[in-house]
Amino acid sequence: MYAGHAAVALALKTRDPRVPMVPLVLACYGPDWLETVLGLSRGRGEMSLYTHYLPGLLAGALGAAALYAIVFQRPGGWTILAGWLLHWPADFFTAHKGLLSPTDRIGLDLYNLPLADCVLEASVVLVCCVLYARTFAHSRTQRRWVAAMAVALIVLQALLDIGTAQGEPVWRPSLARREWRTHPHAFPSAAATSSLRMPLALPSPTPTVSERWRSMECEA
Amino acid sequence: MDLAETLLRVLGLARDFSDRARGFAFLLSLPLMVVTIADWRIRRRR
Repeated sequence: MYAGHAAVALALKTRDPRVPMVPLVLACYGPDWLETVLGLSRGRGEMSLYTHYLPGLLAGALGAAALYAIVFQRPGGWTILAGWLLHWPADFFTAHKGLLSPTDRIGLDLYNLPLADCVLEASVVLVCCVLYARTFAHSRTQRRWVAAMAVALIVLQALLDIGTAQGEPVWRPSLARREWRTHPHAFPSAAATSSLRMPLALPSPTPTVSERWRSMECEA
Repeated sequence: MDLAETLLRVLGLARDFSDRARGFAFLLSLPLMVVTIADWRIRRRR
Protein backbone atom coordinates (compact mmCIF):
# COMPACT_ATOMS: atom_id res chain seq x y z
CA MET A 1 0.00 0.00 0.00
CA TYR A 2 1.26 3.49 -0.75
CA ALA A 3 -1.03 6.47 -0.02
CA GLY A 4 -3.13 4.28 2.27
CA HIS A 5 -0.40 4.29 4.93
CA ALA A 6 -0.59 8.09 5.14
CA ALA A 7 -4.36 7.78 5.46
CA VAL A 8 -3.92 5.33 8.34
CA ALA A 9 -1.73 7.94 10.05
CA LEU A 10 -4.53 10.51 9.67
CA ALA A 11 -7.03 8.10 11.26
CA LEU A 12 -4.65 7.34 14.15
CA LYS A 13 -4.12 11.06 14.69
CA THR A 14 -7.82 11.43 15.48
CA ARG A 15 -7.46 8.74 18.17
CA ASP A 16 -4.50 10.44 19.85
CA PRO A 17 -3.95 14.10 18.84
CA ARG A 18 -0.96 14.40 21.19
CA VAL A 19 1.27 12.45 18.80
CA PRO A 20 3.07 14.75 16.31
CA MET A 21 2.25 14.02 12.70
CA VAL A 22 5.82 13.46 11.42
CA PRO A 23 6.70 10.53 13.71
CA LEU A 24 3.23 9.10 13.21
CA VAL A 25 3.54 9.08 9.38
CA LEU A 26 7.10 7.77 9.66
CA ALA A 27 5.80 4.92 11.84
CA CYS A 28 3.01 4.06 9.41
CA TYR A 29 5.63 3.81 6.62
CA GLY A 30 8.14 2.40 9.12
CA PRO A 31 8.89 -1.00 7.54
CA ASP A 32 9.43 0.70 4.16
CA TRP A 33 11.83 3.29 5.60
CA LEU A 34 13.66 0.60 7.54
CA GLU A 35 13.92 -1.46 4.37
CA THR A 36 15.39 1.54 2.55
CA VAL A 37 17.95 2.27 5.26
CA LEU A 38 18.99 -1.36 5.78
CA GLY A 39 18.97 -1.87 2.03
CA LEU A 40 21.88 0.54 1.69
CA SER A 41 24.17 -2.16 2.99
CA ARG A 42 22.53 -5.46 1.98
CA GLY A 43 20.17 -4.70 -0.89
CA ARG A 44 16.61 -3.49 -0.49
CA GLY A 45 14.98 -6.60 -1.97
CA GLU A 46 16.51 -8.87 0.65
CA MET A 47 15.87 -6.46 3.53
CA SER A 48 12.21 -6.03 2.59
CA LEU A 49 11.65 -9.69 3.48
CA TYR A 50 12.93 -9.14 7.01
CA THR A 51 11.34 -5.77 7.70
CA HIS A 52 7.88 -6.90 6.57
CA TYR A 53 7.46 -10.40 8.01
CA LEU A 54 5.62 -10.62 11.33
CA PRO A 55 8.56 -11.04 13.78
CA GLY A 56 10.51 -8.28 12.00
CA LEU A 57 7.43 -6.09 12.02
CA LEU A 58 6.93 -6.58 15.76
CA ALA A 59 10.60 -5.89 16.50
CA GLY A 60 10.51 -2.72 14.41
CA ALA A 61 7.28 -1.56 16.06
CA LEU A 62 8.66 -2.05 19.56
CA GLY A 63 11.89 -0.27 18.61
CA ALA A 64 10.03 2.66 17.08
CA ALA A 65 7.72 3.02 20.09
CA ALA A 66 10.69 2.94 22.46
CA LEU A 67 12.59 5.48 20.35
CA TYR A 68 9.54 7.76 20.31
CA ALA A 69 9.17 7.53 24.10
CA ILE A 70 12.86 8.35 24.61
CA VAL A 71 13.11 11.19 22.05
CA PHE A 72 9.75 12.92 22.55
CA GLN A 73 9.22 12.19 26.25
CA ARG A 74 5.46 12.28 25.86
CA PRO A 75 2.54 9.83 25.67
CA GLY A 76 1.64 8.21 22.36
CA GLY A 77 4.01 5.27 22.15
CA TRP A 78 1.07 2.89 21.72
CA THR A 79 -0.13 4.89 18.73
CA ILE A 80 3.33 4.67 17.13
CA LEU A 81 3.30 0.93 17.82
CA ALA A 82 -0.17 0.59 16.25
CA GLY A 83 0.84 2.63 13.19
CA TRP A 84 3.85 0.42 12.56
CA LEU A 85 1.87 -2.81 13.07
CA LEU A 86 -0.96 -1.66 10.79
CA HIS A 87 1.53 -1.55 7.93
CA TRP A 88 1.23 -5.33 7.50
CA PRO A 89 -2.57 -5.64 7.07
CA ALA A 90 -2.50 -2.67 4.69
CA ASP A 91 0.25 -4.25 2.60
CA PHE A 92 -1.59 -7.59 2.62
CA PHE A 93 -4.09 -6.13 0.16
CA THR A 94 -1.56 -4.79 -2.29
CA ALA A 95 1.43 -7.17 -2.23
CA HIS A 96 2.80 -10.40 -0.72
CA LYS A 97 4.14 -10.14 2.84
CA GLY A 98 5.81 -12.68 5.09
CA LEU A 99 4.15 -14.48 7.98
CA LEU A 100 6.38 -16.22 10.55
CA SER A 101 9.05 -16.89 7.93
CA PRO A 102 10.27 -14.24 5.47
CA THR A 103 9.59 -16.58 2.56
CA ASP A 104 6.06 -17.62 3.67
CA ARG A 105 4.40 -14.74 1.91
CA ILE A 106 0.72 -14.12 1.34
CA GLY A 107 -1.29 -11.23 -0.03
CA LEU A 108 -3.90 -10.13 -2.54
CA ASP A 109 -1.29 -8.52 -4.84
CA LEU A 110 -3.49 -5.61 -5.94
CA TYR A 111 -0.41 -3.66 -7.07
CA ASN A 112 -0.65 -5.87 -10.12
CA LEU A 113 -4.30 -4.89 -10.63
CA PRO A 114 -3.55 -1.14 -10.77
CA LEU A 115 -7.14 0.02 -11.20
CA ALA A 116 -8.39 -2.03 -8.23
CA ASP A 117 -5.42 -0.83 -6.18
CA CYS A 118 -6.17 2.79 -7.02
CA VAL A 119 -9.86 2.38 -6.11
CA LEU A 120 -9.01 0.66 -2.81
CA GLU A 121 -6.39 3.18 -1.74
CA ALA A 122 -8.47 6.17 -2.84
CA SER A 123 -11.35 4.79 -0.74
CA VAL A 124 -9.08 4.40 2.30
CA VAL A 125 -7.77 7.94 1.79
CA LEU A 126 -11.28 9.39 1.51
CA VAL A 127 -12.63 7.60 4.59
CA CYS A 128 -9.62 8.55 6.72
CA CYS A 129 -9.70 12.17 5.52
CA VAL A 130 -13.38 12.39 6.49
CA LEU A 131 -12.51 11.06 9.97
CA TYR A 132 -9.66 13.57 10.22
CA ALA A 133 -11.86 16.45 9.03
CA ARG A 134 -14.58 15.63 11.56
CA THR A 135 -12.04 15.90 14.38
CA PHE A 136 -9.75 18.75 13.32
CA ALA A 137 -11.27 20.74 10.44
CA HIS A 138 -14.05 22.98 11.72
CA SER A 139 -13.77 25.97 9.42
CA ARG A 140 -14.20 26.11 5.66
CA THR A 141 -10.49 26.86 5.14
CA GLN A 142 -9.50 23.86 7.20
CA ARG A 143 -11.84 21.63 5.24
CA ARG A 144 -10.31 22.95 2.01
CA TRP A 145 -6.88 21.91 3.24
CA VAL A 146 -8.19 18.44 4.08
CA ALA A 147 -9.70 18.19 0.60
CA ALA A 148 -6.41 19.33 -0.97
CA MET A 149 -4.54 16.75 1.06
CA ALA A 150 -6.93 13.99 -0.06
CA VAL A 151 -6.60 15.03 -3.70
CA ALA A 152 -2.79 15.16 -3.46
CA LEU A 153 -2.63 11.68 -1.91
CA ILE A 154 -4.99 10.21 -4.51
CA VAL A 155 -3.01 11.84 -7.35
CA LEU A 156 0.22 10.36 -5.97
CA GLN A 157 -1.45 6.97 -5.79
CA ALA A 158 -2.85 7.27 -9.31
CA LEU A 159 0.59 8.21 -10.69
CA LEU A 160 2.11 5.18 -9.01
CA ASP A 161 -0.59 2.90 -10.42
CA ILE A 162 -0.22 4.37 -13.90
CA GLY A 163 3.51 3.68 -13.67
CA THR A 164 2.82 0.10 -12.54
CA ALA A 165 0.35 -0.45 -15.38
CA GLN A 166 3.04 0.46 -17.95
CA GLY A 167 4.94 -2.69 -17.02
CA GLU A 168 2.10 -5.08 -18.02
CA PRO A 169 1.69 -6.52 -14.51
CA VAL A 170 0.50 -10.08 -13.87
CA TRP A 171 -1.87 -10.51 -10.91
CA ARG A 172 -0.73 -13.30 -8.56
CA PRO A 173 -2.76 -13.31 -5.33
CA SER A 174 -1.69 -15.88 -2.75
CA LEU A 175 -3.40 -16.89 0.47
CA ALA A 176 -1.64 -20.11 1.32
CA ARG A 177 1.26 -20.99 -0.92
CA ARG A 178 4.85 -20.44 0.00
CA GLU A 179 5.42 -18.87 -3.39
CA TRP A 180 3.56 -18.51 -6.63
CA ARG A 181 4.16 -21.32 -9.11
CA THR A 182 3.23 -21.77 -12.72
CA HIS A 183 0.98 -24.57 -13.90
CA PRO A 184 2.96 -27.84 -14.15
CA HIS A 185 2.69 -28.05 -17.95
CA ALA A 186 4.89 -24.98 -18.20
CA PHE A 187 7.84 -26.75 -16.55
CA PRO A 188 10.59 -27.82 -18.97
CA SER A 189 10.90 -31.11 -17.08
CA ALA A 190 7.24 -31.91 -17.80
CA ALA A 191 7.82 -31.34 -21.52
CA ALA A 192 10.88 -33.62 -21.44
CA THR A 193 8.94 -36.51 -19.88
CA SER A 194 5.86 -36.12 -22.05
CA SER A 195 7.09 -38.78 -24.48
CA LEU A 196 7.31 -41.28 -21.60
CA ARG A 197 3.68 -40.73 -20.79
CA MET A 198 2.44 -41.30 -24.34
CA PRO A 199 2.42 -45.14 -24.17
CA LEU A 200 -0.04 -44.87 -21.31
CA ALA A 201 -2.57 -42.97 -23.41
CA LEU A 202 -5.71 -44.79 -24.50
CA PRO A 203 -5.42 -46.60 -27.82
CA SER A 204 -7.37 -45.36 -30.80
CA PRO A 205 -10.99 -46.54 -31.09
CA THR A 206 -11.50 -50.14 -32.23
CA PRO A 207 -12.66 -50.73 -35.82
CA THR A 208 -16.03 -51.82 -34.47
CA VAL A 209 -16.63 -48.59 -32.65
CA SER A 210 -15.35 -46.55 -35.58
CA GLU A 211 -17.66 -48.36 -37.93
CA ARG A 212 -20.59 -47.73 -35.64
CA TRP A 213 -19.72 -44.04 -35.27
CA ARG A 214 -19.41 -43.61 -39.02
CA SER A 215 -22.82 -45.15 -39.55
CA MET A 216 -24.35 -42.90 -36.91
CA GLU A 217 -22.79 -39.90 -38.59
CA CYS A 218 -24.38 -40.88 -41.88
CA GLU A 219 -27.78 -41.24 -40.25
CA ALA A 220 -27.45 -37.76 -38.79
CA MET B 1 22.21 13.56 -2.51
CA ASP B 2 25.70 13.27 -4.03
CA LEU B 3 27.24 14.40 -0.74
CA ALA B 4 25.21 11.81 1.16
CA GLU B 5 26.21 9.11 -1.31
CA THR B 6 29.88 10.03 -1.06
CA LEU B 7 29.70 9.99 2.72
CA LEU B 8 27.98 6.60 2.79
CA ARG B 9 30.45 5.17 0.28
CA VAL B 10 33.39 6.39 2.38
CA LEU B 11 31.81 4.74 5.42
CA GLY B 12 31.33 1.56 3.42
CA LEU B 13 27.58 1.60 3.93
CA ALA B 14 26.34 2.39 0.44
CA ARG B 15 26.30 -0.73 -1.67
CA ASP B 16 22.83 -0.14 -3.05
CA PHE B 17 22.68 3.58 -3.63
CA SER B 18 21.14 3.01 -7.03
CA ASP B 19 18.61 5.23 -8.75
CA ARG B 20 15.97 2.68 -7.73
CA ALA B 21 16.80 3.03 -4.02
CA ARG B 22 16.81 6.81 -4.32
CA GLY B 23 13.50 6.69 -6.17
CA PHE B 24 11.95 4.59 -3.42
CA ALA B 25 13.11 7.01 -0.72
CA PHE B 26 11.75 9.92 -2.75
CA LEU B 27 8.45 8.07 -3.19
CA LEU B 28 8.16 7.55 0.56
CA SER B 29 8.92 11.18 1.33
CA LEU B 30 6.12 12.57 -0.88
CA PRO B 31 3.09 11.49 1.25
CA LEU B 32 5.05 12.46 4.36
CA MET B 33 5.43 16.01 3.00
CA VAL B 34 1.80 16.22 1.86
CA VAL B 35 0.33 15.10 5.17
CA THR B 36 2.77 17.08 7.32
CA ILE B 37 2.20 20.36 5.47
CA ALA B 38 -1.58 19.91 5.40
CA ASP B 39 -1.73 18.97 9.09
CA TRP B 40 0.44 21.93 10.03
CA ARG B 41 -1.79 24.33 8.05
CA ILE B 42 -5.01 22.87 9.45
CA ARG B 43 -3.95 22.71 13.09
CA ARG B 44 -2.35 26.15 12.96
CA ARG B 45 -5.78 27.60 12.18
CA ARG B 46 -7.57 25.98 15.11
